[in-house]
Amino acid sequence: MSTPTADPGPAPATQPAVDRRGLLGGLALGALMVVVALVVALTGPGFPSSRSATVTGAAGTQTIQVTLAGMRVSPAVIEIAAGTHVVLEVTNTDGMRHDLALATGQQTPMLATGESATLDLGVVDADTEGWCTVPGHRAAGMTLDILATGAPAATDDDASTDDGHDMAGMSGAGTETDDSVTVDPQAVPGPDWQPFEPDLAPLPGGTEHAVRMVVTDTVTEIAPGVRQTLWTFDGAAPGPTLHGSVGDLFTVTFVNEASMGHSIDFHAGTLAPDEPMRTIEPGEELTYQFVATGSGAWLYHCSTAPMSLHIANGMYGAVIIEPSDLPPVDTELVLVQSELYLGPQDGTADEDAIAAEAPSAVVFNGYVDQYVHAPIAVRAGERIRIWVVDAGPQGATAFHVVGGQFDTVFKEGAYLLRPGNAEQGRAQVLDLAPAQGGFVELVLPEPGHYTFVDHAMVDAERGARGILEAS
Amino acid sequence: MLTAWSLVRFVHVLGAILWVGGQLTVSALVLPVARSRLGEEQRAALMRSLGMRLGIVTVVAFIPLQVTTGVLLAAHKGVTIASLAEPGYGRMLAGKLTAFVLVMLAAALHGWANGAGRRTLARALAVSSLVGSVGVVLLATALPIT
Repeated sequence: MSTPTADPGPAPATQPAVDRRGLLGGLALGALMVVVALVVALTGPGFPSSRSATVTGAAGTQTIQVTLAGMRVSPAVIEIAAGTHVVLEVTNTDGMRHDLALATGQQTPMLATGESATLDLGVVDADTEGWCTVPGHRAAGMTLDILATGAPAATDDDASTDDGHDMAGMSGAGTETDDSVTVDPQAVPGPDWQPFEPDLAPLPGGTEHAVRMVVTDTVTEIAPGVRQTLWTFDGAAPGPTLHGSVGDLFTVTFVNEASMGHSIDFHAGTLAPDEPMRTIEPGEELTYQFVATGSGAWLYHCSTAPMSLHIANGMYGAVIIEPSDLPPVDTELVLVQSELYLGPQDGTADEDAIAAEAPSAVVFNGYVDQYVHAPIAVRAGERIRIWVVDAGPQGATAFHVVGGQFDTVFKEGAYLLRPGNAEQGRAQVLDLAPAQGGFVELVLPEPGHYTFVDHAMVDAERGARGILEAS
Repeated sequence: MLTAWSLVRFVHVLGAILWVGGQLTVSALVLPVARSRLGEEQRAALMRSLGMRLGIVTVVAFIPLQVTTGVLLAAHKGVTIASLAEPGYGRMLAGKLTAFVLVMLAAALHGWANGAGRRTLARALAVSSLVGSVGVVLLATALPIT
């Protein structure tokens, strides 16, 4: 074969005509090739990223491909002629699990990456909607609107709201506010109730710590008679407090035995988040290894979207890394403050309340007025160190002990105040933004009941209160 | 970042440059000069010889090199046969491959037409091969960067 170079040839007399015909013909043929290629490249079924699909033709059955990925249902809007028999072929192309539930009751199973399911909606006469039932995903925008054109206007909100409500209840998503449980400030815990241990466990010894942390769905009492299905690290919220010194190596085996994808983010280590902080599905586990490079009271939390929901629903805890030469004290406590946005009894957190930043309760170590119900016993005259971490997800804290003054304040890696300072200064509040931490030290002058609070008083009245009972 | 894959992509692009550039140079520069400076006999001999050489280089080096590097790059990108039907990268690549096959067909037919003495057809196929090659480059640049 020879390559395409314009052919020479004898017959000079006819050469220009031959050249011109060859040139024009070649240009036309070449253009045709490009057109054919462009047709292959640009036509065919619609792009899956399109936000809207219109199915024309009223009669018969219409099968529509629906893709779940990136917190979106694609297409997000499907227009059909009223009276069309609609079948959805739903495929999850995302890295995490999703499903699709419709207000009319049909629901796919939970789909792992690459899995598909078919939903037969029957004959659709009215507008309806669908969504992913994984908690948080509907609020994040994983919704589908099916618009039946030529139908009478959607009968107020019946189809969507009521059925949606039921579906949300079934999945425990708790997106409605009216069935949220409320806390009775007068109620007291039952006889079997055990407060969350506030004492910091002593340093475990050694410089390498292996920890196994299992996430489960745990029905947890968060106030007298009020239960929520929390997602917990090792069965409780907050999760276990890790305790070590600067330079210690933590090897955490993170196991997901819950019903949806979760992850973990330790602020106490510095590393590329890509692998260790990835979301793992139920039944999976990962190893998260970090060196505690700096001292502080560090937050850890689930970093699966939406994080506000995952933290609000119990996925937080503290890592205490002591600064060097930290003197021993008589009593050492850990208080992790967080907000609760209550869903229905035994349900999960209310996403609407989270979005509205309207907490139902603010708590130390996960329980409303926990250490009012179970005061922490200390002694007058002894040195008390209180580590505080603000887990949020949204609120700050102004930690204060009524009747006390702090002579030592360590916040976010530095001492703000130490005993014997030249100014003879003392502090009344340790202020922490969400995810900040630190500790305070104080000596109570005489026996009595010293209430500690988040001095943002509405938060205190919502449950961020406790008592140091000094004897 | 300069990686081994940059090298593979470099070889692929270099091959395309040489092939398209070779056609352009011969058709747009060498041919007019040969026509004005050489006699009929010499010109025919020169062009035939050039064409033969380019043809041999195409079959022996260009096609194997482009196919090998192209398949490697596609595999590295995660392209599968099935994904060629998907909108976006897949179908854009399918269009490019279609154009490539058409261009190679035109080039082969050009060789045959030349040998058979069908000059008009041969010239048309040569020009179409060049235009089609430019189309391949156009689709290559349109491949979404992902």
